[in-house]
Amino acid sequence: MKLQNSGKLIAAITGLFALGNAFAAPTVTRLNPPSALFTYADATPPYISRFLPAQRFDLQATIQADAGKTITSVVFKVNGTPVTAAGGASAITSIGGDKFSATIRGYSNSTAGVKTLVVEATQDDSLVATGTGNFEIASITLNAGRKAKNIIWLIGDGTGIAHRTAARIVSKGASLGKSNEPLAIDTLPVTGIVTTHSLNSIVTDSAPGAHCYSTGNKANNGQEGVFPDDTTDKWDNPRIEHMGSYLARTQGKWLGIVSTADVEDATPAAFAVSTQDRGAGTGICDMYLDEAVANHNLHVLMGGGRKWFLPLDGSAGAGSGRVNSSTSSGGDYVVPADVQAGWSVPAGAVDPNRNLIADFQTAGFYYAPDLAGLNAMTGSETKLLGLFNSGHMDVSYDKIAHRRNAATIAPGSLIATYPDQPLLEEMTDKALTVLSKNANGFVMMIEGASIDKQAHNMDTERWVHDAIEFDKAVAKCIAFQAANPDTLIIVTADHECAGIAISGGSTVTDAALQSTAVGSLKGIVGTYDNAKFPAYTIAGDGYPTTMDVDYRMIIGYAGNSDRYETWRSSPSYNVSPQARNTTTGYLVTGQQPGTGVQSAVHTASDIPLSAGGRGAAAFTGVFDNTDAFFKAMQAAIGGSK
Amino acid sequence: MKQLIPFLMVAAMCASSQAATVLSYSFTSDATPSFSGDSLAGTVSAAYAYIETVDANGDPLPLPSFRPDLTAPAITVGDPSARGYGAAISGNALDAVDQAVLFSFSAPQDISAFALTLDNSTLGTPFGTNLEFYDSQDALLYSILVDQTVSGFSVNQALSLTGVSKVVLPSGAFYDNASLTVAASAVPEPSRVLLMGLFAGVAVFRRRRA
Repeated sequence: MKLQNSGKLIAAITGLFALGNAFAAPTVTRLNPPSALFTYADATPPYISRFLPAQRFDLQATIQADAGKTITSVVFKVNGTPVTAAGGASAITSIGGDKFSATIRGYSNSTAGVKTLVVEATQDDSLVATGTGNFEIASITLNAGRKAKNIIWLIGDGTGIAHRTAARIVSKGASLGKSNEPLAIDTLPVTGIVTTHSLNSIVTDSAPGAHCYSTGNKANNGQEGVFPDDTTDKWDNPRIEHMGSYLARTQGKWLGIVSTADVEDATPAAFAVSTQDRGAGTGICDMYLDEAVANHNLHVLMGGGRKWFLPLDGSAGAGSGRVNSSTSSGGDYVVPADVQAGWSVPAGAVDPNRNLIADFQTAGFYYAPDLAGLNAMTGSETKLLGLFNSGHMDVSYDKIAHRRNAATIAPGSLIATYPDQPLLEEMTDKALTVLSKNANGFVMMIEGASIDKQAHNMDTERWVHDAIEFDKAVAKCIAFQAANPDTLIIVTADHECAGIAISGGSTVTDAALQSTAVGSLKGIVGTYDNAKFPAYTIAGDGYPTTMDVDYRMIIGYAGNSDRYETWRSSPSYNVSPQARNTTTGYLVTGQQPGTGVQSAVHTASDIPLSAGGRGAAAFTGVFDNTDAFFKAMQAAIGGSK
Repeated sequence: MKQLIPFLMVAAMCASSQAATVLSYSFTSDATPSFSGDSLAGTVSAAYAYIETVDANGDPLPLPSFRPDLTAPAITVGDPSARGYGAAISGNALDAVDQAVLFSFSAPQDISAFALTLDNSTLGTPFGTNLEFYDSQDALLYSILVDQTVSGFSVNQALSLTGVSKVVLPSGAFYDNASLTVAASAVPEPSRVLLMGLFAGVAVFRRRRA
């Protein structure tokens, strides 16, 4: 009886302990790199995070400690072997709410295969939390052929199939069932279809949409060069090494970034910057110089965004000056010590009065503020900074109109302030001249940014015009590739924008369209046989003489907000589709939710990819956007026949 | 007889040294390395190469096979520093940065030593770069890790490989001062017979003296 009672007592005590542990135990709530194994206990392919052999990335875990407790040690194990951090390249940081973030920076693994990642975090009462995930080290076939010496990514932001078709119809024409000529893009011999989902949504924004090509991995919307974490710090997220950095340190390649957007914008920044905030203005631009010039061999940076580069105190003259610096909304950057140690980067600084243009010049960059500045280059320059607008560059529709008639300045544009902005093909030409000086080749990203921005705005004429401008940049690259056959050209997008559909053609002349009553505008849309073949005329400068031709092409938007449609070009730039043509157009009701939604949106539709040159043959079929990174890196590292 | 021993030993040693062929190449100026004029049976050629994994029908080969890339330019030599690959090793070096180099023997050889020096830079493929020896059936006989990320990495190994038909230098680096020792043939050559006879004669002579 005594024994029986003793047994019950022991059982009761054991139960109490077990109950206590059940209600008080630290837990791992996040493990980076992201994996389905950690999130869903799914160990089967596809593996969410993949890396090149020897590509660097951070290991990170968030641990929820018991109330008032502290995490005292954290061990990461890869396939059972503890990972040792380089000096100073690890940290355990309290992030509030009894949560801790543990990191090991700059880890890499050179052996192909799927790796199991385990984190073991020990609380100050010796309780241990564990989490298990996985990642894959991709296999690269070495010595597979000659390497791609130069890699050119051309990203038509938001450019789906229909954007290309529209550009072809307008710039090349179609008749008797055939296109009169192909676009330059169409002449690339290899075509693939790319899926574009981001880490946290089927619909990506431009940050992860470009990050995937630069790192081979997924990111959350709004984030570039990093995995998500649980801190509010924009600069401490787990990093993934960019293509530019990998090829700079292993092959001595140079990096070029060219965009018609503000260079701080998501697509350009995703090729060199690491932050969870795609809008982190001055910090992003500082990072180009402080990190990318040193570690990515950044030699060309061109686009808009001069405002981030000029000191706030006005000491450098005109310009809005370090907008979104720490003095306004916290956009400047300082990285924690473990990031500095693990990635060999400087700390950064809150420096609103930094003259970043002058600092670039001190680092050896030639600075071009406009097209004349580009044309004044001597040809000996090896580093080039071009900042042609305070924000996004104006679009080709308005730039060409101003070139044809200097008095034509689209309301809403900044052409009066920046009258001599280059076209994308002109920027491409100069970038190729500079980058081709490197005997070890280069990686360059060229973005046609406003195909997306004007598709958001449902300004048909302006995005079609920029798609034509983009194709001319592609033509420059194809000519370069013909002279430099060890060049790989990849033309694709980051996502589709606006759900573009070429639904037909106008059944009336432009004059008739202008005199059509608002209530009858819907009736001019010709479908099937009535669409016929819209005919545009191309001027000597290579662009349409007018977008307002008779029997013009009609564009529909499936990812749209409300808009007022006139089927004609807007004289003004960047006017909201809900504020534009409110009296002259008819209301097309959109599908986007909520009040105040004033633009069309990105869609989850697959996007086309065209490729040519060394290694292009791999870009066929339907594949994930991260696969494009590994196909390109196979060509650059392992070569191809 | 005793007086003849030093003379015979020198003669035998000279004859013996002719049995092994040391192929040395400094890649100083020739764009296409040539080893003509040595005593190698057959010829050796060098070309930029690729690894083939499928046959003409697209079916997998029994073993991957390194083949000369007929679309590639002739192999080149140059100053590594001109490409940022560190100070010259000793003048020009073989440029294998963009593509692997394949040395092919027209007749299989027995290799007894190999030496090689890499460029003085940390540039290079950071994983899986092996110098490889293959037989005529594309079977891998031996591989040596060449760490291209170590400045001035060098290889100097005694080997015992028979029937080598191909030697592959992996892409990603400059190479210089290559030395490949082709061992004596398995069939005793006259010099070896002479040396063995000498030793036998000496042994018999000394035994009789004792």
